[in-house]
Amino acid sequence: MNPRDALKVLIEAVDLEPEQRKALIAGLPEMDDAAVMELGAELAKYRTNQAHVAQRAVSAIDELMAAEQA
Amino acid sequence: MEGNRERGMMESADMSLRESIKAYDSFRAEYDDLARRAETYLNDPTISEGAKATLRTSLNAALACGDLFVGFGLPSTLSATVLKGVSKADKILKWMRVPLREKKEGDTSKLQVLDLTPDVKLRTSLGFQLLEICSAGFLPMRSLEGLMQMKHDIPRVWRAYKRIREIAAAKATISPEVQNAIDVFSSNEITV
Repeated sequence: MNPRDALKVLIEAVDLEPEQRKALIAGLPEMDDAAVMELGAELAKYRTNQAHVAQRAVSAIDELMAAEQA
Repeated sequence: MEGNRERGMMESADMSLRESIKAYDSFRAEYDDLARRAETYLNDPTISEGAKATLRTSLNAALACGDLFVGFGLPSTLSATVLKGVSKADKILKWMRVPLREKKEGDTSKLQVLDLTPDVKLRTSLGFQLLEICSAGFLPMRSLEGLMQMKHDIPRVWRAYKRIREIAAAKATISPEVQNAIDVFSSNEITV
């Protein structure tokens, strides 16, 4: 997957307002390679962190429910 | 001539980078803010209902504890019943003002938040009030009313937890396509 396609996938994957998403996708062809890499790295970091935080929330709720059932 | 062209290209690249960073910054500013993130969750009706139930349960628990002290129980029961009455009266008045064809099942009064025991009937509350007055505040009737409400609220809180879990589980799952995209940028010091 080339970085531009990867960035497009990430823009679609993160929680963005529809207008922000549209603006970023529209501006994608005009972005230079450095901007693509920088934004891509930030979005990749954000999505990974989001998954990590969500996983911790799931574990916490599971523990709470297990404690309630015990 | 060549220099001008190069400078123009550099400026355009710089602008493109600045635009991207600006768009990303505005996105981060919005989503990194905890309150806004909570708001996103609270837009879900099940979670919103659960949050209200949690708040109500806390207030009812506090009032139930206060009710154990003679002298505090009577005013707290009285004020809770008056607020319940105001909320019900507002709901009835609103219902009467709206033409029949425009009436919807889920229509609620804004003053409904004043009612800490919305699932307990007004006549039951009034009965408790009467008993509390007859016992000169010795019977902890506010605690009983609070417990009756908690019986309805606790399942709501659990439903909200389950809904939060569903949303979080969806966010915790990274699809293979997204993972491939993340891997493309992973050389750029991605830290968790």
